[in-house]
Amino acid sequence: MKNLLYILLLLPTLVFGQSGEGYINYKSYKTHYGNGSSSTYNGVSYGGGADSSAEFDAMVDTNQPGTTLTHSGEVSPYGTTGLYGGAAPRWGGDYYATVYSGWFKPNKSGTYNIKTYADDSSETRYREAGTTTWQYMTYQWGCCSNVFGTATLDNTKWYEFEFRYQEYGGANYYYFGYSLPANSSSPIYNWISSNHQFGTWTNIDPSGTSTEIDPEVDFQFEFQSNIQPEKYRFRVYYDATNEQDGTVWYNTSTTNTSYYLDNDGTKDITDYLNLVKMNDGKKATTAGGSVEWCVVYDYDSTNKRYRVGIDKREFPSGFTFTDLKQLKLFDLWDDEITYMSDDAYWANYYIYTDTQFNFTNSTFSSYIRDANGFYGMKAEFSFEDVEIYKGHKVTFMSPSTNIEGWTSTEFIDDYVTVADVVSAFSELAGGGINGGYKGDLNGVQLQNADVNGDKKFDFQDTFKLLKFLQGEENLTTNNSLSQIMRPVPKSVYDGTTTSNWSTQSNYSPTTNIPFSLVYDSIQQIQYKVGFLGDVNLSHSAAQTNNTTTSARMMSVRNSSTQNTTLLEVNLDIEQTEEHIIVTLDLPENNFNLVGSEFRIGFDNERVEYDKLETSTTMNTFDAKRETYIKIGSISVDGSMNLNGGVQYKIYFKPIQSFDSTLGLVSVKKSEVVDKNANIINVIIK
Amino acid sequence: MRKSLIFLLLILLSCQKDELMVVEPYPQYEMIFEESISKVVDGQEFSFEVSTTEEHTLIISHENNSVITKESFTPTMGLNTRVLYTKSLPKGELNLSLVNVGEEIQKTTIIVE
Repeated sequence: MKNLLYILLLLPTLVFGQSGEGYINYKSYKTHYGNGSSSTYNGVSYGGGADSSAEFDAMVDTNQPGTTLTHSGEVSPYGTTGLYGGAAPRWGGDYYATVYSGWFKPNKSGTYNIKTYADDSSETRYREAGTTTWQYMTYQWGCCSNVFGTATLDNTKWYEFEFRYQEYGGANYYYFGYSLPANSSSPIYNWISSNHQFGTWTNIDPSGTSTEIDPEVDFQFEFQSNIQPEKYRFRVYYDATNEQDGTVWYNTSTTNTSYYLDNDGTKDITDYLNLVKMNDGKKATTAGGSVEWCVVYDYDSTNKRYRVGIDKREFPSGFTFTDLKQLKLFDLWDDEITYMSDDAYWANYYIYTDTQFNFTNSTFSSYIRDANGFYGMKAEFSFEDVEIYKGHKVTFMSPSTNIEGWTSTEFIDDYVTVADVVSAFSELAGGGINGGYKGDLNGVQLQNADVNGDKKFDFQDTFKLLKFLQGEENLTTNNSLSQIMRPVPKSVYDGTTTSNWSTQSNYSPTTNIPFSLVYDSIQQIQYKVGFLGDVNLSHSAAQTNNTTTSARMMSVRNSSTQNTTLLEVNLDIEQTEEHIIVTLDLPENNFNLVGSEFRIGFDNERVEYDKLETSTTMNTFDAKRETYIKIGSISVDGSMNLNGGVQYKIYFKPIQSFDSTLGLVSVKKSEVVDKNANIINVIIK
Repeated sequence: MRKSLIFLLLILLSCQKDELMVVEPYPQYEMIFEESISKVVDGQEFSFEVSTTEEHTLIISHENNSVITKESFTPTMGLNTRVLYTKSLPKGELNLSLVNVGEEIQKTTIIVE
């Protein structure tokens, strides 16, 4: 709870663009667990103030359990949040580290004198754009005095920089100052400001090689037409674990905000994403060299992989070999690798691939030697951090706060009706004595009909549906939205057939929709939404290119007993000394009705349900809810029908005396269905 | 002197006890069928006049005329007052009609909020 509060209160919305000139990037980390404790990861530890560059690296490594990236974005280099104060957004006043990065081009050529002032340890370093080795203007391990250094710069070149400092406790700041080359023999220092800019600063790679653009994510949820998408609310969460294992999720909004879908079920959630990246190991890149630092053993066709050995002398000091997760090996491979082992001389990895390398035709073939059993590679290695976006998910909330009187049970009552139950029984019974299905239901309907989720549609499911209809059991454990809502990727939903319905993905109901962010992409994520138990698809999205009719309405004309396309049901409400009696008379007909269902609402503060009497011998039910009662009849095997008509008398007991009864009870819904699960229109008279 | 007398007279008049007019409130009847549409609330009384004492029926129905609820009663000649309970009714616009011997004699629209 404490962690959650911390995140909700202190983590800002971490969505920033990159504005270019006049701005630099920053990242702020909570370090030392936020309480001063030391941290260790893979044998590398840090504690207190940074005493070396390696310890500083560890301090800002989010793989360390004590380190969490809390803020990132861009600031002006000239102000207090930038290089004149170091007060970029951060989680607190102690136990943090801030890293400024970007590129600068100095105003003058020559040797600058540099002065920095930081509390606690700091490193002020740079490198010519396109090179890999940091050069230090200044650094200080510990606290906290003016530190001096030099940098010889060319005002026609861009330089990449990384200025970082960390705070353990007490005062906290970072200042960058300089003296122009013209004054190198007798420096005149100025702290950086808008009047003393030092040069041009930018957070967009001036080489133009960095084209990384944050992703845009548009969701589209397709519901059945009688569902109001704009009533559905959701929150956006990100995976807060270093392992990205989905065990801890935080709302991307610091205020735990939720959002409504648009009327058409769409929503652009780009503004709600957490675009702070995290380290995900290292990537090695190779260039042709003069020494065979690398060997690739012959292809293992059994396991479909190559074993790659890299000479340990190619790795930086202190490198954690298990962190190497990607490899660009000449033009042969540029993807993930799997750590195998390492010994005193070699670090070994697997490359899993179904396709063997074409060593002979590689443009780097002059660096490759076929050694009969392995290939020697004259390769020089460089290493870089791999950064990934955190996992995300959208989680739907119950619409009970948006739709007056909405409860999941009532919602299920809306879509699991006598027509669904008849349809389910008909599908099973229609297979004949040899079993099998009748063939009326499509793949999505079969998924919805499998209400116990065992990936088999059988009589266990139909009787579960029947018991729900009759009010004897919940459809699920607690009838919550997360147990009935089934969002499925559109292509999967539309591709669900009677053959693959039980093996399709996204089978289990859920209100969580996970998704990954992809660099420089516009992600249009399309889902269709179905509901568990909705056998006739009255409330589930229709499949595209599927001709199965949902909630089939019958339009036949009954010519003998009732010469109309409607079935008129007579309603009478009378008050006796003890009861208010609702009488429904379904007349003689020839629709071969095997099911009926009426929902009778009642004012539960003034009357209470007592009993049901009926004239039919068909299986009759009365399911009591808080404000209504479901009554009706059903013949699950179709052996009986209501052609002879039926009368239902529903008795309510007044809780108080009444002179008037108008509105105390009401007929809220009605449905009758024939043995083929066709719904016959009903009008109450 | 004359001014003093007038002033004295004004003082005397001003000291007289106020004569308050007690007005008996007329019974307020919501003549619901005189309005083409009206909002209703739970437990609301409404009134209407009938010209016979035969059994009448109040019917609330959807726009498609499917009946939601009804109440049959034997009225008194002239003004009748009934009570409408709305908690079990659907929200929105509904028809309210008064029927006598199968003939609809009054009709209006009610809005249940």
